[in-house]
Amino acid sequence: MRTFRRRFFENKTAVVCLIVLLLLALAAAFAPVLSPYDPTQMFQDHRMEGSSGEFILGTDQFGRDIMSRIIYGARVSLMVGISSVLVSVAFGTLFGLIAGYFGRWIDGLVMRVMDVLFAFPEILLALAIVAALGPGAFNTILAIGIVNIPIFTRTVRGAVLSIKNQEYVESARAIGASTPRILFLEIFPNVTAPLLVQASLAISGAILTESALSFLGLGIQPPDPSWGGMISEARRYMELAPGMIIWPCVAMTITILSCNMFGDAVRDILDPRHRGK
Amino acid sequence: MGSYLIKRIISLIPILVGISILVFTILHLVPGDPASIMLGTEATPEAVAVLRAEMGLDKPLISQYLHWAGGLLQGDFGVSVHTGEEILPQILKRFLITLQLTIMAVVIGWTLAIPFGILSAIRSHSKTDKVIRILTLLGISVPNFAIGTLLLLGLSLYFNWFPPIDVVHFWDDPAEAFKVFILPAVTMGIVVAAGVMRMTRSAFMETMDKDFIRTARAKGNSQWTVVMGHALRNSSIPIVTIAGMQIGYLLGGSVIVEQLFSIPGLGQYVLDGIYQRDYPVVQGGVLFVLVNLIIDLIYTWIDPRIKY
Repeated sequence: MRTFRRRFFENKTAVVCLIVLLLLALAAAFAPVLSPYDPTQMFQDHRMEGSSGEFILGTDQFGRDIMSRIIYGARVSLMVGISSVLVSVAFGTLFGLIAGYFGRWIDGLVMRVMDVLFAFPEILLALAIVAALGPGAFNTILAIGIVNIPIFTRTVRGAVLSIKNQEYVESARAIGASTPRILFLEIFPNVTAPLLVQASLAISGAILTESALSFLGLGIQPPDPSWGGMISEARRYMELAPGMIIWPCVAMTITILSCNMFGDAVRDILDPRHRGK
Repeated sequence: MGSYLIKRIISLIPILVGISILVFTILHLVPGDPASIMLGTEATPEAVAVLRAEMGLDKPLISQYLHWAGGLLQGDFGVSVHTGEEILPQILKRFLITLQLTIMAVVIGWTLAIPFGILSAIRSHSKTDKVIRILTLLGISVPNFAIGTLLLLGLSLYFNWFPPIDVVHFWDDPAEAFKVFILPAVTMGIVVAAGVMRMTRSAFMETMDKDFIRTARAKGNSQWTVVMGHALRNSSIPIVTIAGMQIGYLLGGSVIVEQLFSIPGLGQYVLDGIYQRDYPVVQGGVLFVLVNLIIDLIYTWIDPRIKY
């Protein structure tokens, strides 16, 4: 763990991305304090204005402050991104541990079900689930969470397969440890590294999917601000007020870019094959 | 090899059945009844009940599924709740449009990705490499609807150029079709390019470390011959694999791009089905996209060296 910490702080990309992500998280957490206005408040006399001292990033077609909406949008994006990945990690880890540890027909059954889920393009399955459950934040989280379960199941199962016959697992079994104890206290701690890398990459994917769903009008519902929804609304007015589109795009790009670069950097740090290159 | 392939195809059957059950159940859990949607809000309960019986909606879920799956096997995807049209001909018509879009996106993506990927690998850790890698990361990180919207915005604002509204097939009028498809294809192509580029770079860097490359250099070959003659062919397998996978995913991912550019392809068909709660359409459309994925899976299984 100490070497990990040292390598982490030697890696400039990782540190910079972490700082950006922390700032975003802070902005999301303190959105009510930081944003200049209420994100749904309409200033009827200030519709589709450009940047000004009063409205730093301008206003949209209802005269709502774009800056405030972007800050609150960060809240939505991060919340959906993180909670949906938590859903996938929880179920994926459970299925992966079970499939990898017990093997045989249980493994076969679990992995065939995962193959079925995996065969769908991400966005299409998420669309179908949201279509069934109805739009809204909670259902969006659930849909994206379900879509990503197979990735984590595969990751955990692979890691379990490579360690389940090692001596410390065997000795745990020899002293009579119960199966759940072996699974969660002996094996699980040793699969956290690949899980962490996969999770940080999956968060960016989840944020992308959320914004795509909201863009299609099936994710977060207006008037709640979400970046995808803002871009979708702004399309009609793009020639009159390009800022309405550009700023949410910038916010999304920065967020997803830092997630991706952070994930890549953590993988480089953890994976001995990438080290030193 | 032959028996291996047959085994693989047979093992696909439970997956296909699983997929069809999943698609069927997801959409049948939905509150809201297709029969009352078809008849509108002013229909009498009796009329709705008659139609429900006619559509088989009053039967248990299992027999509904068997009926639907049996129809699928005979090429009968059912009819749209909204328009009453046969679904399969619609799907085929729209698939042709999506296919043209996909092919164009792949061509654009590859033309960008391969040369830059090679350049990035043979000049690894140089400034060129860094710039290319940052652009790739951007390609992965900017959502495709944002890229598409910004392209539309830029072209209409600064060049006063709009893509034509009516969709034309390439075999009818190539020039006009090019104008129709170029923006959505570039939008999808950028995402393709980013993925292929990453794969090209890592595959190439691995190959360039190999002994036979050193031998080729020691024989006095020029850089060009080493890269194009020796390294390219030996790095091509992972690159080709990722391309095969991408085509399947592009067909699914075209949902957003088709919606954005109003292209009446398969993605838009499924999406309209979702908006209008036209579930036979959604079921058929989603399944059809999957057929392409199955082709990819088979392809991956044909070559046992390829794993993903």
